[in-house]
Amino acid sequence: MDKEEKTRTLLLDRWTIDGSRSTTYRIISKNVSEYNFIIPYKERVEVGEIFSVEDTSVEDEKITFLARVTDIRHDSNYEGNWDTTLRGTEFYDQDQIFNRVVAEPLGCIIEDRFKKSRIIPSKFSPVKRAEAGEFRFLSEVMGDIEVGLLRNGSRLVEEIPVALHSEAMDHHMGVFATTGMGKSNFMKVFAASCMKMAAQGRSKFGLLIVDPHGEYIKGKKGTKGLFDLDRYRKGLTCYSTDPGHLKDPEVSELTVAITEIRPADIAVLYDWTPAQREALEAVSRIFYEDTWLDDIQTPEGTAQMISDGFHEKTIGRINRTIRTIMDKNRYIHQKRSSVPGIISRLLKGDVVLVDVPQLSERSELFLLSLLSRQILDRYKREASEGGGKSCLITIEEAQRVLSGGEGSLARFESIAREGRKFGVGLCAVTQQPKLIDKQLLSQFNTFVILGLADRNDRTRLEESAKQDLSSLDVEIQTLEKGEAIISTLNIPFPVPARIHLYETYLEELNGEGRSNEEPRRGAKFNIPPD
Amino acid sequence: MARDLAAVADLIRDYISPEGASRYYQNTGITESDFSPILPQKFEGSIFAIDGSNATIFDLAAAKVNYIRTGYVVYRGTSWQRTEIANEIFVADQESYAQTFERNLKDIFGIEETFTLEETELDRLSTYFRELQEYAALFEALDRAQEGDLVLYDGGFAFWKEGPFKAVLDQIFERAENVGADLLGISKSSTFSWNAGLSRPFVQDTARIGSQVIPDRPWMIDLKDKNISPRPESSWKGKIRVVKFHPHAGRAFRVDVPPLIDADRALSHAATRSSSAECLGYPHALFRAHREIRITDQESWLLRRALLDELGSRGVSEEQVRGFLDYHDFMEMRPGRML
Repeated sequence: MDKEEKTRTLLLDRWTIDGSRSTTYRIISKNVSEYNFIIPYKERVEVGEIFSVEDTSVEDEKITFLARVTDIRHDSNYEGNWDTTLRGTEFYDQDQIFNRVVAEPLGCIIEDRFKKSRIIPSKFSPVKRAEAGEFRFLSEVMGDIEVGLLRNGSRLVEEIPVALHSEAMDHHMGVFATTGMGKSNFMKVFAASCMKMAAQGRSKFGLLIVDPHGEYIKGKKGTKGLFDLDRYRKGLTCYSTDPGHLKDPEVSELTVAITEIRPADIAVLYDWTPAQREALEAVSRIFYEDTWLDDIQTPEGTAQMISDGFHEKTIGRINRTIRTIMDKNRYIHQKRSSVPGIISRLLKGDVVLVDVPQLSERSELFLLSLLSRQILDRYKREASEGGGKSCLITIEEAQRVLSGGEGSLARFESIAREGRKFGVGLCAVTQQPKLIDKQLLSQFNTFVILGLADRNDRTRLEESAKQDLSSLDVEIQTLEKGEAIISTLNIPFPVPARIHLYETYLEELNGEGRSNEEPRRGAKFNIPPD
Repeated sequence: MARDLAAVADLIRDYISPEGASRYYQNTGITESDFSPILPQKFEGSIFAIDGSNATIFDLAAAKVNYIRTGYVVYRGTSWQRTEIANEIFVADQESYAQTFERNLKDIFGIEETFTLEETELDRLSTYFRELQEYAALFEALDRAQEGDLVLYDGGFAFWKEGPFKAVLDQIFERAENVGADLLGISKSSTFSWNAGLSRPFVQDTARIGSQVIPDRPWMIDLKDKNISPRPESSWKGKIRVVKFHPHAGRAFRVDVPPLIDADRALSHAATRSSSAECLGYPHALFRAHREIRITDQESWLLRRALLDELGSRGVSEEQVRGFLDYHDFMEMRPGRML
């Protein structure tokens, strides 16, 4: 068909199509919020993997787009049911069968600066798996509290540590995971990084951990504890009720002075009738706040309450409850209290571990409520005086106190709503975020998501997150143990991470400064134990 | 209206509902023994499949500007090797077409003769030109083919043999013979009919009845001396067959086998390569040729837009264009800027 141009015909063009002109690994569609490209059907791509798209269509203006895989679909250039019949097992045109990869744009890099993208890559721009160099900009936006390494699909990007920002901590943090996905491991890694910062005098906030399971101090079931971080131990202050742990000279006995307990601390603990609740509220008006616990239990105190219009049985119920609390919480002392020390350590920026194993759930909540109230009051004063560090209060099984319903504790709700004004943040750890009130959750600016099987849990997080997580549903559902999606302030998109295994991280931190040789970080990572 | 449509539906049903085999045999002169099985043979040679497509991108009534694409695909076994494509613009003008055709005939085939179409055929200038370009593609494919290869042409030969392309087809058949390649013309549609009081579609009825006779193999039937219409000119020396290439497929196809081609071998090889999942029962190379060479609506629309833009940049006003368009196109035009 090699012909010359003719008078009434015009040979526009002619070409040969062969295997060298494939459209695989090239952008073929679709819009600003979704990119599509195809790959040969025998090749594999993972949900969550990040690809880079290099657009050089405009001269001297190279743009690298980054996009995260959100879905992978079977596709082909053929319509019909050719692939569903038994007889249809002989494929001829394997080049016409492919997987369509759907990717969500993360942004674009222009002259080494990352920004959100308002344009789309040119059609047929080449696509490839993003490499470490293309994530370099992330190093510049990461914070100071290291928790893991960047993950691209299942592969680690060892050069890019994932670190949270201290500044974001009083904007509340949620740690969400189904049982066994690595919540405790994450918290220990997080606390270890905070200890390091505190020991080096770089800490910008204090971290309070109330541990009802006794697992943080020295570890449990073969895992290590915060005490094993010898190198930065001075960043940790520990209070305990466990006689075994108290043998360690660096562990102080936990005490709460009876004078520090307020009616509101009691009020949060039980299901009170309206009359009993009213009586509790009146206590502060009738008695001195430092002595009310003793006063109300005297005959004179009871008479005073009755004369104020409350029924004798009501007073009796309150007194019985007070006696129960005093009996079950042996750390309540007539005079001594650890609370001022705890708060001053927090203000200094230390990690404060309150180790209360074998404490009942009710007692734990009572203690947490009391500490939170005192912390908030102190930080309010500090704020009015112009400063002090921030503070992060960890709440395990946070759905117990942040559900927004009957069982919710107003104290924690108010910290969630107002705490950040005074530098007090909550770290809510839960495996059931669906039970946390949506409005309260929307106050949380940092989400650490470690794998959630329940669709309702994921939906609740998607509804409340500051960054769009809706396209990450499949990825969150398929996270492996120790893998996380972290959505936080100052980092431009939800970051896929592999959380350090605490025991490995510990080894690394303890070894810091002992050798000039930088350990190979990702290589040491193992899947966290249950 | 519903009653009228019901009557039309009855009429259509008469054409497509199964007709008794005995009447078919009686009226066509075909017997059960005319159906013979095809034994697919191992075939690892190359297959060339030629197709073409055309779209009118500007209709000036007196002349039409056509976008024509022709080409061929090449397979080796079941593996696609490449696709060769040529895109051309042809201005179908009844006053000047002869010159265009003559130049092409001379340039491509070395044929120097006057080219004239019957007056009744002048409306089909672009069809003729596309046919010529397809022959050009076929001619090139045969040039690239080697002995024993299979060359499949989308369309028939028998009824074109006596037309204005007689000399072209002679050259094509000669080249096939010289190369030693097997050439077949396979038609996706056929106007063959047999008389059952009305013109029953012949290929479709043959497909149904042949599959009852030979249900589990590919088969073929030769139409020589059968009572069907239209009949090719007596000068056609090749064979015309109806072939079912795969027993599980629903369709059979008319196949023209040029003279001196080993029809049994060629059909056997074609059947061997008609078992793809993508298009069972049709030679797969032709399936791909059809898909890759067709001009999509979107493509012709884009080309039309580009052409109008070019006109605009040359100072041709929208009003002028509208005034010269076929009035059908004018009425179909949507409001808004055109150039």
